[in-house]
Amino acid sequence: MELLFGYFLQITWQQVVMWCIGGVLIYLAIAKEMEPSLLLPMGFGAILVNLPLSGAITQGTEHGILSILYEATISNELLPLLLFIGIGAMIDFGPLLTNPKLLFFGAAAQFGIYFTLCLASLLGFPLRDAAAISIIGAADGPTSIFVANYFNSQYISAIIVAAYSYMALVPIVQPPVIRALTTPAERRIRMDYNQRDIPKLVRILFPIVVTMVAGLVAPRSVALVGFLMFGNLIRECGVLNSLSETAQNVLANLVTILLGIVVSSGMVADQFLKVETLVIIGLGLIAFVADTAGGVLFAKVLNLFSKKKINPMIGAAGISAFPMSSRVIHKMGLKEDPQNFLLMHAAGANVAGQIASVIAGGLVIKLIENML
Amino acid sequence: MSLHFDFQAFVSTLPVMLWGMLGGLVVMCFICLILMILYRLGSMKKKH
Repeated sequence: MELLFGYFLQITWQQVVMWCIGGVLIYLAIAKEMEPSLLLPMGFGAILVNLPLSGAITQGTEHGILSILYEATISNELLPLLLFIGIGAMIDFGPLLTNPKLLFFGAAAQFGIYFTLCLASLLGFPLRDAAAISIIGAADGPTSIFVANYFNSQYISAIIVAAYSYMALVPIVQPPVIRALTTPAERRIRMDYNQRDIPKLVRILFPIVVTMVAGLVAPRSVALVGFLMFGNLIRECGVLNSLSETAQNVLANLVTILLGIVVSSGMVADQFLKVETLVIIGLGLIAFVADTAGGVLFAKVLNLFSKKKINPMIGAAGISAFPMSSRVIHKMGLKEDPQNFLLMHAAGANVAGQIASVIAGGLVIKLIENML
Repeated sequence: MSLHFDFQAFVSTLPVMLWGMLGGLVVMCFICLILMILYRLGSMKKKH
């Protein structure tokens, strides 16, 4: 009997807690449909790696497949970058190209990254870890993985869980912050949307230009923006439709399956169940709140100087959580005024946030590297 | 790692906030500017 059930005696309460966390992630993925493509594999992986002497991860001299895959695909940033090709191919920058000024909302809504960096440093996290934690505010999974991995943070699993969880929680996190910072009259501001005929030349050159500018500012992270824009170039060039479809569907799905479960290899009880994990999750929430506040307040400041008023809620869509954030803003706009259609403006700010978050990731790497 | 308040580290990261936000806005300015030029080129091409 001991031969069959001996391992039952080796179960620790920490492992049981991790099974529960895994169960909660699976529940959120299935019942609440919160980022199911990532939370479900992560939840299952959390259970898988927390079985006593789990063969899925490396234990002593015994190699585990998830640990091997982690080394081969995450620690060298392969999977986040491949996923970015898929994301780039999915994004239509049309609403942003129609109104390029929306780019600034993307930049403003990265405030949470820097605010959280300062806060994490204040709480005593080493600079590398503080930088990695702050990038939760990028509201962008691949960027979070890339930066946390670049700084070799010991909290990478907690950071990824927090980043993806809050991205899924955007419809819950953003509205109260927006309501607190705006008046009903501001939320009812209407904005005209003038559909602009975007020349093909602009659509093709845009990803190239963004890559070059971002690469010249922060060369170390050029792969991040480069892969995103490469995906977009495949989409926009018009001669690689089959590659574009593959990147959007097959590649993105394949990478997502692997990403979720491989990331969970870091969710081993003794590494994950720490006070710091709870603090990181708290800091992640602050990052999202500060991002939203940054975007909204930036729009309000612009309104002080501009004749054509901007609905400040558009600023909140400058975070990278695409397309959730733009949908949230659109719904909030309709709730205040059923004739106020903000979707295209919000979508423009939202894709600007996608670019800005990647650039912010590069800037964090560059600025922190100089301090180390 | 033990959690504690480190005001020195906090102060040292404030310039990162300033440069990071400023850097992001400047990059967006560049991209915006280039887009304007591209639109101008696009419309010139159409006229010809």
